[in-house]
Amino acid sequence: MSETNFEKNVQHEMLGFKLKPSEEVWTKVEERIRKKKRRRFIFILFFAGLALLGYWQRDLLFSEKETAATEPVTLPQKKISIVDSIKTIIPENINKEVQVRENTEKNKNALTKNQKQIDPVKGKIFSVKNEKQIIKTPDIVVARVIEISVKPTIVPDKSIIEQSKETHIEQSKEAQILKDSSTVSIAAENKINDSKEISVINSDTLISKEIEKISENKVQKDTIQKVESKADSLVEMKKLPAISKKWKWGVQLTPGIATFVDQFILISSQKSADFAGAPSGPIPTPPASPSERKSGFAFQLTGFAQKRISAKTEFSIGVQYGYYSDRIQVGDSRLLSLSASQPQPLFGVTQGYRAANPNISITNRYHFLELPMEFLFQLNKKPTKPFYLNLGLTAGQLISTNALVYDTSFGGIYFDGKKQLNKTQFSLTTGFLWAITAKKLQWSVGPVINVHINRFQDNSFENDKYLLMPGIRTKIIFPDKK
Amino acid sequence: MDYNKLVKDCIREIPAAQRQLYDHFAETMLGVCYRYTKSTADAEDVLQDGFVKVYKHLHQYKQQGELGGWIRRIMVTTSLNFLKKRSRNRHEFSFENEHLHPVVDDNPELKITGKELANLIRQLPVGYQTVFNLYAIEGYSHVEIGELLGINEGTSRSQYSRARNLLISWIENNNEYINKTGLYVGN
Repeated sequence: MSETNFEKNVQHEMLGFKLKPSEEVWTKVEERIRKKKRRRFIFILFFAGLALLGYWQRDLLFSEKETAATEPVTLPQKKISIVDSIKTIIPENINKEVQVRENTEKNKNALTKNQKQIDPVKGKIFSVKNEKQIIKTPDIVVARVIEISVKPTIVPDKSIIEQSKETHIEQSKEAQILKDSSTVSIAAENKINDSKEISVINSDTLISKEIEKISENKVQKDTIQKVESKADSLVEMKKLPAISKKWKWGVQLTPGIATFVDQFILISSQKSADFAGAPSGPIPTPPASPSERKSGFAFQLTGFAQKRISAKTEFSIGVQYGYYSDRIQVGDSRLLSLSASQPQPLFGVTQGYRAANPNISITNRYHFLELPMEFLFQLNKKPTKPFYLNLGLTAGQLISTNALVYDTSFGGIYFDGKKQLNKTQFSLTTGFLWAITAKKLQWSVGPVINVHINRFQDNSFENDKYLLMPGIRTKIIFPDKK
Repeated sequence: MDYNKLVKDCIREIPAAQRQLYDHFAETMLGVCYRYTKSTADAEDVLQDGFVKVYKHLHQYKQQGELGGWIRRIMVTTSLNFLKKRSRNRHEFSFENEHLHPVVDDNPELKITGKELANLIRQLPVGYQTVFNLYAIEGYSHVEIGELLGINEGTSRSQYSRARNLLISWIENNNEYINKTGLYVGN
């Protein structure tokens, strides 16, 4: 409003006052508005690329066929490996004489000079001199093991055990093959159950007892045949299991700490345009500085689906709730009386907290709904205890917050800052996971770090802009429903 | 010009529409920014920041009032933020009492061009310059200026009064020179 003609004249002159800007101004304006569009485009392109990759690998992702196993090992080879395993049972320096039965005629030929012929009736001693003999006479050895063990049991090779599925072998006085996919202890004290006791020949007493039993002429030829058929089963067991490509479901919880950093490690922090808040002018004294931002508690709760896409790689996608927080110190609250006749085009604030004389601790809370996607790369060879490196990307949307944002207006003030926050956030995740299987559930735990790659808030008066969350992830995958 | 259509096209990020909006308002807005800053380079920086904000927040323009007025307010806000950021450590904004310049004619005739007047305004101390711009040209009341700048109404009034007197004294000197020589004096 003009008090005199002077003001009117000045206003008249100045409102019509124009200056031609240099062409560089438009170039820079255009560059800045296109940069934002380019950033958005890059994210869209990235997700389109992921979608294309998923389409290309759709057979891997959506196929539930089980891949074929390797060819079975032939029986003779298997027998050898049985024999090899028996080597581990029978100490190398064993020099015990055991009584065995002759099983087939061909075994006679395999007898070396040092070996005495077995009298199936009388149960003559059959001495074992060296390992080569064992290899040469696999059938005999198989029979021998059967007959000298407390329970007719064959302890398979460790390598077989690791690769085999569960099988069941009828028990009687025949050979039994253990049902176990884990390492089997072949020590005498190893017990599967009462009826499947494994014994290892390491005791004279044991051997002598077995000799007595065998001499009763109870082991028959068909028993040996059954042993051979069981050995066939072992062969089948040696087929590698199919890689399951079904989707597995699970939940994970990642507690951690939320902290804000000034600069994203790959993208340098750029000063945003001036904060478009209430027109605030200069003040006689400098405004109170913003409070230091302290880290706060954070956690992510995720429901996910995971699928193996190759021998050592798995893919996981899910839905996640993310909670993040940080703490600031503010002063007393104050009402901000802004003029109603001058509507603020960009925001309107009527209440805030002074930045000066901080005496109130405020926790800013951020609630996100997120979509995490991850690849898990198995780094070790154990399928039962995999160790993963995981790399992922998460897109998130801020759904609720009580955050306060700083401005230098009114001597330094904190106010409701929802509009200054970038509600859509993208973050990268990396970490390690150790997994074990117990009670049919796969449990995983490991450190993880989540780094947001776009600025969290557009406020040029505060430095810390990128959200960072280190944490410990615990994960459970549920068994397949059969 | 159909501003509604132009705004809609700019919201849709049509480059031609964005350029058209800029061309239509840039010169006037640079004049606004020029009065708040001390150099043309600073004025252009503020203009650049201001237009980026315009494009970013154009969807909030609710067509109440003129588009030019809405953009002008953004430019004023941006100018004040610019001055505020610069003054954070320099204490440039001072409302200490300047020497009161006596004036002969309270309503001198303006025998200078707009640019010369703008240059005179820019030569005022920063605090005077800001209050003068907001009151005499943008039309804010002293109450509103007090709220915007964090000063009380009385301070705004006194600062404006001093700014006005200082400016008038310069204009009178200029007029006197013109009367004597027939030449304009301006920066």
